[in-house]
Amino acid sequence: MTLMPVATVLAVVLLGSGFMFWLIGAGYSRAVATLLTAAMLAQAGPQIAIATGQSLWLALGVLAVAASAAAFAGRADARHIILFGGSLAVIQLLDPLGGVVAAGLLPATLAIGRGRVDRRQAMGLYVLLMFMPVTIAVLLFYLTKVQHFDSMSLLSGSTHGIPTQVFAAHASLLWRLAPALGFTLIVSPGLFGLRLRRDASARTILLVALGVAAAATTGALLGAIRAAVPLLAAASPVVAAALAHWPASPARDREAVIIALLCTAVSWTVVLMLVPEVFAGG
Amino acid sequence: MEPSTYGGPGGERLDLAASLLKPLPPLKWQSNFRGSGIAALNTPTPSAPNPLLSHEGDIDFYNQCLALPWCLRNGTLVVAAADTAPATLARLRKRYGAAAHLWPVAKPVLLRALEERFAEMLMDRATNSLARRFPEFSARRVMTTGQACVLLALPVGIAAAFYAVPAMTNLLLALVMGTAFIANILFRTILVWIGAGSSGAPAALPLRSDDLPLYSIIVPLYREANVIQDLVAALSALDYPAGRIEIVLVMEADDRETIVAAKMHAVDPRFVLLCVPPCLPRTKPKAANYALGFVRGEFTVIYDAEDRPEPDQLLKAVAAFRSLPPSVACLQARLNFYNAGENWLTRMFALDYALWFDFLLPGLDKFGIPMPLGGTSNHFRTDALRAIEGWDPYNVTEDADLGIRLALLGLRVTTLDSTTYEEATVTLGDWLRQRSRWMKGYMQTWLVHMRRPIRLLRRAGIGGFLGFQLFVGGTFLTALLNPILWVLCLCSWMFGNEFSAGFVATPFAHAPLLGLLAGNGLFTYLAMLGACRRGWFDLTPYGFAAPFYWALISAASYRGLWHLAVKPQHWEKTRHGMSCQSPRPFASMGGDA
Repeated sequence: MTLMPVATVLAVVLLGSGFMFWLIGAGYSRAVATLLTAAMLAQAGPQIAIATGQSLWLALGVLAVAASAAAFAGRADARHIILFGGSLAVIQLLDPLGGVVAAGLLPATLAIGRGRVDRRQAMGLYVLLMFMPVTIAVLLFYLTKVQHFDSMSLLSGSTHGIPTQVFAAHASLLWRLAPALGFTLIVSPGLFGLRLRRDASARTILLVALGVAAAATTGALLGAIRAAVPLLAAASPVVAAALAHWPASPARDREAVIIALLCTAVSWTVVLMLVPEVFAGG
Repeated sequence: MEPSTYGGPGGERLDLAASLLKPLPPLKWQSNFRGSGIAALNTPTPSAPNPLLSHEGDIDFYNQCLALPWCLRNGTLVVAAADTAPATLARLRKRYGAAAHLWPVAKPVLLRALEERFAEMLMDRATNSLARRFPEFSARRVMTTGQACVLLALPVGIAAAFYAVPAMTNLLLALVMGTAFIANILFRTILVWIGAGSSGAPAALPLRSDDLPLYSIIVPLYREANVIQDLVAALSALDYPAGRIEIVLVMEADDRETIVAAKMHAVDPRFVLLCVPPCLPRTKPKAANYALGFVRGEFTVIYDAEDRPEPDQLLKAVAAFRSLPPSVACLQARLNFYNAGENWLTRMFALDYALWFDFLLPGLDKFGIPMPLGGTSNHFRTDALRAIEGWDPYNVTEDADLGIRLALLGLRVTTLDSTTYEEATVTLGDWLRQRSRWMKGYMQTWLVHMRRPIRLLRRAGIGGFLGFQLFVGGTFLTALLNPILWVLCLCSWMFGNEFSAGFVATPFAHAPLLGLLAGNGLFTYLAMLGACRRGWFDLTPYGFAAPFYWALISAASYRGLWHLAVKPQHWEKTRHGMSCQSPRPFASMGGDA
């Protein structure tokens, strides 16, 4: 067994810290937050096992997008606009799928922004939100196509090698849709509970999940996504977002732990079904 | 100086001698005198005060008590008094004894007499007191000999270096320019982030009318006859007890139109009209200093002629001052425009102002970096303002300088969550004149406070020192560098490698290009963000034009630099009342998103 790359360790630490920070901020005790964080990291565990740290960077990106989108839905002030726009920009730098996810979230962004301002001012808000993601997209396009510079190599030193090979062996339509289906399956327990809430932040998390799933589907159908595992790792931040906005009740802690464990179990099942060769090979 | 142009707010021709002959109507003073232990006199007296009875050293006492020793009658001192409040009468009794007689006169008459008696001294104080007491803070001298030597040596040194080691010099210059450029923009980005989390000084607390102190408002006016009526209406609408407010309209003595308009419209007893005798420098700060000698309020605010402060601004300021430590000497209210949507220029200006006052200044406040004040809606503790000798009459951004000076003298400036709406300049010419004055003033301010960099560092601390360099120095430096970087990039693009070989030969030398692109990109984004706090998202797309607006700022900066060299203390007057949009009611002026 080889040592995990520094980037992977860093990604795990950042992801775990992000979960803890968010869950404690949402009112969970430290003990429960630690338990939930452990479960979320275990959900993303297949990626750590595969040791392609880059997949965890996508999870970090989704965490940033989900958190900032929920915050923006609560209050559209300058800081939240910067954070939301910035997260949509940063996710593109973290993983090759990030650009697709950001694009997939575009309709969600419009939906989140709707209702915050009147029609006359909506254009201005969208321009502000999209400024950073579009600028980064143009910059990445320039670096990749004109300068032939692979920015992703800075984080992991490699692209999705193993999953890409695995995925290439199963190029049927069903396999192409598998990442999106798996992602939806993993996040569905969390989102089902959240569905009961009708506030802006809860709706926003649903929209983010839909955006990621839609991006995955579109990307897979177009051949842009060839790796299943990184997308599955991105499920944990969405589940964490759902738990952070879980309806307050005496049974909240218990329900949250059950949901987290359920998601982890589903996640491992999906991964084992999708990429058995990875573990067989490892 | 024509005496007839001075005086009372009633619109009447105020002749001092004639005014003195009019008996005062039965007033509260009659009852106040009973039991005060001082006798009142209500008979004709000489038309002018005896100059031998009053002394220049007592001018502040006269102003505070609104009293002036007038004459001797049968060996008894007669003191003219316009304020017959019990506390003032007690002070006068203590000063002049129970034997003195008080002669009640109207406030304009007393002020007029004070102005005539002490005209020379008041003018000298307004013009020179800062330069006398704190010469190191006065912009009367544009730069020291040492600074002049450095500024002359710099281009000579660069030219010599070009001659000796051209490639290295190119590289170093490119690096310095690019780094300075990007450092300034990054600093502003951080300030925006910090400022976005700030809401200014505490909001208004419910204050009882009895707890409210006397509040003084100073409004320097020059060639503003066309806006006086609106100004009077806006200031009259302030939510503050009439008996606890004094509004000092200070005009230039030879500006007859404004004086006539003021006499016509400012008839409310809250208004006090003062006229500054003509002398150089003819600047707003000199007029404000002149007025400062007369104000009696515990707090003083300065407004411009076209200002529309939110009605509760004074209440908020009092509440904030009451809740903040005494070291907070000044509150800066937010500024923006009521005619933001008039044309492209006013929209850009509104974005610019929103960024400055809604984000950058609160960011500086949070960091504790010396804050250059905006030109209006600065609320002061009057004692503190007097203690530092008021505004610098030789600095054309006296506001910015004052903010820095307050900080260097150990006092704090913070922001107030209340907005004053102004009129944005609607024509390019007016905008250019105004902006070049501001840039010149920032250069003046930077030169003044950089006369002794070590002392500045010691007083402001490392953060304050760097903040001052980036915010005050960076404001004009980036504007001056911007066109140079554009020219470098354009040349590089047009002449390709041939040019690059000589100018941007190494990877490091791409710093100007990087700085330019990143800087302009960030500047564009920040300009857009400016609209956030007020929810003016319809202005956001105009932020894409920020690089063009920045080019205009650069033009104004070069003009300001030229003016600094040829007429450093010249005040380029901004015309007001040019907008075709009138101020909207406050409820519709927007608010937080």
